[in-house]
Amino acid sequence: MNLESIKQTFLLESEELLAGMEEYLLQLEKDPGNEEAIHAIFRAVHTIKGSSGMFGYDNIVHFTHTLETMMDRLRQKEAVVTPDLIATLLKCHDHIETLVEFDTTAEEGQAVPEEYSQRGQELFSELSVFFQGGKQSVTVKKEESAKPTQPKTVEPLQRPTNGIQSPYWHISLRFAHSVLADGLDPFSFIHYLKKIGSIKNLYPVHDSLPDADLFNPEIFYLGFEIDLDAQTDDEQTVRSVFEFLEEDATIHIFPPHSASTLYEKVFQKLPESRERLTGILMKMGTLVPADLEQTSSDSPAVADAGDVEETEPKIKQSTKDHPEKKKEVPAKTSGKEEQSKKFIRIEAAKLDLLINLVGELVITEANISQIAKRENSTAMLEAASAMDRLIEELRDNVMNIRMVQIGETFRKFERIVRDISRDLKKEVELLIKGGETELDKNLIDNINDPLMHLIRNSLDHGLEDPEDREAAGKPRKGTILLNAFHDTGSIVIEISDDGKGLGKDKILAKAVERGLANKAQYYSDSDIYHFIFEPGFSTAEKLTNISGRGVGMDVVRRNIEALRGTVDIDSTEGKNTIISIRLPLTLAIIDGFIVTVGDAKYVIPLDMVTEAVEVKDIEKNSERGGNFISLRGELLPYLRLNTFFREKNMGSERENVIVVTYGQQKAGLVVDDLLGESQTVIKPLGKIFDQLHGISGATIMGNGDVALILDIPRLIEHAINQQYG
Amino acid sequence: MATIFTVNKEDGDIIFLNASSTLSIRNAKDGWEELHAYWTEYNNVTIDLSGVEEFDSAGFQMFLILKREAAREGRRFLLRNHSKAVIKVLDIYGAIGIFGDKVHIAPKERNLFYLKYGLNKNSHYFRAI
Repeated sequence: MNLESIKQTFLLESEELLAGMEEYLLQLEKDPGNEEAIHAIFRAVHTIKGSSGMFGYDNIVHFTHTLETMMDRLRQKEAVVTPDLIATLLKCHDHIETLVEFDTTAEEGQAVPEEYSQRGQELFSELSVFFQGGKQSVTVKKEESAKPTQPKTVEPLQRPTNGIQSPYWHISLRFAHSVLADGLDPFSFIHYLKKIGSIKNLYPVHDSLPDADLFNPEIFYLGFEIDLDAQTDDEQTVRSVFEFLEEDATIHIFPPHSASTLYEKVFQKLPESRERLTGILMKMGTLVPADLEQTSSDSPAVADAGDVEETEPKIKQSTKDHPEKKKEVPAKTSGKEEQSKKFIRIEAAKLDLLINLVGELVITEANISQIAKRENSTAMLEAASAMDRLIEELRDNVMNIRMVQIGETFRKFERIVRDISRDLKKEVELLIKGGETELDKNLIDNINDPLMHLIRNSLDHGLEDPEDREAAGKPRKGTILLNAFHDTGSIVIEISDDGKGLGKDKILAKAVERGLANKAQYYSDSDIYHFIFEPGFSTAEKLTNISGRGVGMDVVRRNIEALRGTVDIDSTEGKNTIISIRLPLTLAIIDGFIVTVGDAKYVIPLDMVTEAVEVKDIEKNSERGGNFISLRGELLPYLRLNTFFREKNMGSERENVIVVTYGQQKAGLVVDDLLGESQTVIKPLGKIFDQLHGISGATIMGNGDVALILDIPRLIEHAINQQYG
Repeated sequence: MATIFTVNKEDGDIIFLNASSTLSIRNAKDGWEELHAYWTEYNNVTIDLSGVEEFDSAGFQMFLILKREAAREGRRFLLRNHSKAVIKVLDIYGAIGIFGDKVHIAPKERNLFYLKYGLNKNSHYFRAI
């Protein structure tokens, strides 16, 4: 993975989020009751926190975490929005900006200047004034009230701003093998803890205890994780209990509400794996998932172990060899300049304008071609055709600007899958295929949420616990595959898992119970699976906090349909579930095939046209009087467009059938005349046409006529349904 | 070699042992040798701990390892008639109750012990840890 390019993404993303945050802050200033703005600011801060955690920018994580807590309290209406508060929040915004800039340009291993953390502290004390009346739920506040007599001192390790929730001291003990032989008994030290407090929980870590055959009774193999409710806030008091053990044990003491980063650091020093340790601490209740979320986002090592391995040698190198380091500096900055030369950030609106203009150009060119044909001027026709070619190229290039590889979006889910699977105690591997597949930036932005929801579903409901998987004869580790590819003018994104699949019978029973399905009727598998897209439809026995909140499947479907896409589900019970999302490749300009139906012209996206055939006397040819024709022995459902759109019937004896494909499905559309292909600029229809079926947009032809663009997926669906109806 | 575990009775593949007054680092090596031999020979081992006056982490560790092995292999390693010295250690290590053995503590003495930590309630030791 190219770290530099990911960093660049982080920078761009943060800039965007910060810009949004600023805008909403200003909106909030004008309209203090604007809750949506508060949510948006909260989300921005939250997202920046999350992504900076992935890069190990601890300083940003610290700052944004506390800020996030404050924003949450603002959401809970624990403070009143005043111009002063907004001013302070704007300062916080600027501070994040400074931090982001520092972190993305800093040399690796370069220390964060003292003044930054000071500035952060200042801002928090400024902010806390606004929250005086509220509950004391912010850690910063707690610290202040805990030590009212002391002047403000910065104690970064002991009094961090992102402490865990547990109110107890935590002690982690690992002993030297020789501890017993040295005449020391770990028991007596732990027993002595009773003198300074009460042990709330103790977990004997027995991972290194060998099998009985290899066991040496004079070696002590156990370690302990202890939660202590002590009546002291002095670490020295606790530490003194273990004074005589110092040489025979590794002792880590965490004061109440220690930073999760502190735990993370210690985890790396202990012999057990991080997973095991967090598992233990969660079982004990020392850590709760919320703490863990921080922990994992706080540590670069956790975010991506692969990256750390790569970066570690670099740090060593640059700290050891000073002269080289100096040399490296100019080299790096020039690299950065190059980077910024390679990429220009453009406001999306400018790009949209450009695409619109190209669209207009396409229409005008069509007009010119027509005039040239009418005038029958060879020279002009030639010029027009050259222009046509150029415009086509221009169109493709402009559209290409908006094309983004989906891989980046896919990769973002790696982190989410890791975190969630850890929360759920499942073992999951995320595979990514077709990351280089390109699609429109708008589509990518809009597909993110539905994808996230589907992945969460797979993790939560699809994949089983490792034990259940083993029992079912599958590998312990479940797999989620994200796959993207192009297929007949659309892009297909598949989310598949090798989990337990969908329970067909269960879904159908539920659908019948909810009055969505009729017991007597026959439903195909795909019909049954589609019930899960109904609002409020759930067969889950238990709701978890992973899915079961946020958007439901109905919203997923709605989001995808809004992008002129479709969702399909395939599943084998006990084996897998595959959800495929099919989206149009572009949103703005397509190659269209123009046909006439009655007096009107219609456009069919060329990518979906398989062939055009002439059929004589369709009705007589149709099989068993049903609505299908036999095309080279294959049954093809068909739809008469002049009946469907209630256009005039031209009554010609030979009729043209256009065979269109969408995904796995095929249908024939009966039209009157074929006019050939042409570039088509999609213009959305107005709101009042929302209810229109079978039309997905309109376009303006070269001669100024308006033609409607056919919504092929819906028409195919209609043709197939009509065949059964 | 001092005998640390004496046979009380045996019944097929089950053996009942009495522990001597000391089960600690001082005699851990010999104690383990004896105990491991019984454990290898018999399927189920039960130890009466009423006579134990000195018990420490080394003793605890021996029990822990056999408890774990019993759980893994579907065998039984039982402790009974725990003396106060034993209870004291098991209590601190959160092993009372979840070791699966009945422990008798006089009601008036119960407040001297933690008995069990919240973590381990109702669960078998090796499922809990």
